Amino acid sequence: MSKDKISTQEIAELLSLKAGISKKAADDFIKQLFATIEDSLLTGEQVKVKNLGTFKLQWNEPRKSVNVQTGEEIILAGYNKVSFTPDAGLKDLVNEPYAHLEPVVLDENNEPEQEEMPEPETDVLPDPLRIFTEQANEIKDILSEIQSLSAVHNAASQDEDEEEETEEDIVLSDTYEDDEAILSEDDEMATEAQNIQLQEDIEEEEDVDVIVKSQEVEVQRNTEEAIVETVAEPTVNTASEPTTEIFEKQEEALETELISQTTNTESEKTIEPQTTAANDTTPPVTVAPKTRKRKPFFKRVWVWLLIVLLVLVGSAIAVYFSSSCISCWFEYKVLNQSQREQFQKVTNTLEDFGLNIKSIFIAEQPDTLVVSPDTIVAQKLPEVDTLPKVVAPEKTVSPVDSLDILLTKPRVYTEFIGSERIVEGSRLTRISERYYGTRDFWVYIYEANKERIKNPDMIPIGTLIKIPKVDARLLDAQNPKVMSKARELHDLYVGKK
Amino acid sequence: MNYKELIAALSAQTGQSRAQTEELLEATVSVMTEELAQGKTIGFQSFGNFEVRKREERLSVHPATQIRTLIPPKLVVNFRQSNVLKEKINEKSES
Repeated sequence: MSKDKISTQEIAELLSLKAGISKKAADDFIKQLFATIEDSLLTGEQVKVKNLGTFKLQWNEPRKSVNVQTGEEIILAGYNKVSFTPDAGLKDLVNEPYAHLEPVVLDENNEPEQEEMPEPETDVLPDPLRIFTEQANEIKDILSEIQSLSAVHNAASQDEDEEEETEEDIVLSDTYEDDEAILSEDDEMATEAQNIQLQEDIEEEEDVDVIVKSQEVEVQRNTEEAIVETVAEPTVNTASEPTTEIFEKQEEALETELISQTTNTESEKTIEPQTTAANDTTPPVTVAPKTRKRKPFFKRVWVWLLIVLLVLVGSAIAVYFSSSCISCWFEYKVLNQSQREQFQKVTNTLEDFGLNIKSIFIAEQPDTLVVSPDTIVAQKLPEVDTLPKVVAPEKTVSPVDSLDILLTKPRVYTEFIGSERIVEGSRLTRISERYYGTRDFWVYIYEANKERIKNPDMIPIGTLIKIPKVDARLLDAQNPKVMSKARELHDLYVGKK
Repeated sequence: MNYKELIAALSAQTGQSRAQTEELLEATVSVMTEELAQGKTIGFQSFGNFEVRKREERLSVHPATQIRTLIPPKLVVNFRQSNVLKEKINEKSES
């Protein structure tokens, strides 16, 4: 490349052509020019040449260095250096080939750092399990409410309540252990025993059953026959692990109520010391013989409790339908089908135990419903009698739960709010930021354009991508759940390729 | 030394009028910028080289906000003094 470096002579030649002077004169002039600049620099002055730039003397400090071969430390002497700062005009002229480029703020490079931050909540408990524990706590609260209600009527002693609570705590803490299956089996045995006793009293309870059933019909009508379906259809759902949990809690509920009733009857008989002693040592199975001894008392209280429960449920449903949105209900109905199927299995297994227990469970069904749906929580709470304060906060909780379902559900993109053609420098993250406000939601754009985009990091230029309409709740950048979901998807797609 | 002083000094040395000197100087500068704009290196004997260098693109991180910015590549004029000039300057400063 001979033309890459040009010498003084060539410049002089060009200058002579341009200024119309002889080559010699041009050469002389250039030499003179730089001699003058040099002289001026030697006096320590800076020289400014219009349209070219500024020449300056710069003092470089002496510095330490190391001889590469010997490893000795040497000191490089300080020296002067002519520094040249090009004029703005010259700068621009020289930089013309790259003049169109602008500094770009890079956002996507921050993402790796964010990914490294683990989400502690999701690590501690998987989502379904966490929901179940929450719901278990709710059930516990409700049960204690109910028991306190019955305590008002029966004047049950506080010691008993405390004991029951602690017992519940223990069982609940055991819920997620491995031996959970064994536990539930024990519970089943217990209830079976109870069933037998109850069957012995069928004649007396028949009239009660009629009442129960008539109220049942009301409940069914109100809940759009959802419950009827679950009871009637004998489909067996194989995925029953969470169900056993629900089932277990149900059993616990029964158990504790039975205990309270037995103790109540005992308190009527004024043999309190015995009951406390008994309660201390009662494993679930030993409850059964106790109840057998005190059949009439137990029965009377039990039936009475059932009626109270049903009235409360009825009023709760009425309150629910008058106050809360029906769309929420439909949402629940569709989304929790699987969970209701699981409940159905529970009722089916219970049918084997006898009619009585079934009616008991129907009476208690709202409890089980609380376990699965989110919106029903709001419905259920008025039933826990005079607690309007509690209702309001619970309702605020429910949209978050429906969001959970939204997050776990696979997304289908049918509506699009725009389209974008990939040009050089386009990034899905930047498009996402433009459309959704946050770059993390690029995953949804990618999901909607999967058939066009092979690798989200390398989209061919000219690709036309569609911007899907995404549920506004999924684009809530303030919600940590939403963000963790987006990041989870990000990991999935970025890790995949 | 500014532009006018430079012209004055030059005209005194060459014996030409200031206007002529200014004209010549402007012509010289324009020739140089033209060559540099084409990416050529201009070497002046015993003074130094003017060369065009490419600054590669780079990532800069704002220390306070941690915002990363991609700085695009850039062509700059660089002057590299010749050894002759360097020695002259340093002789002067040492003496």
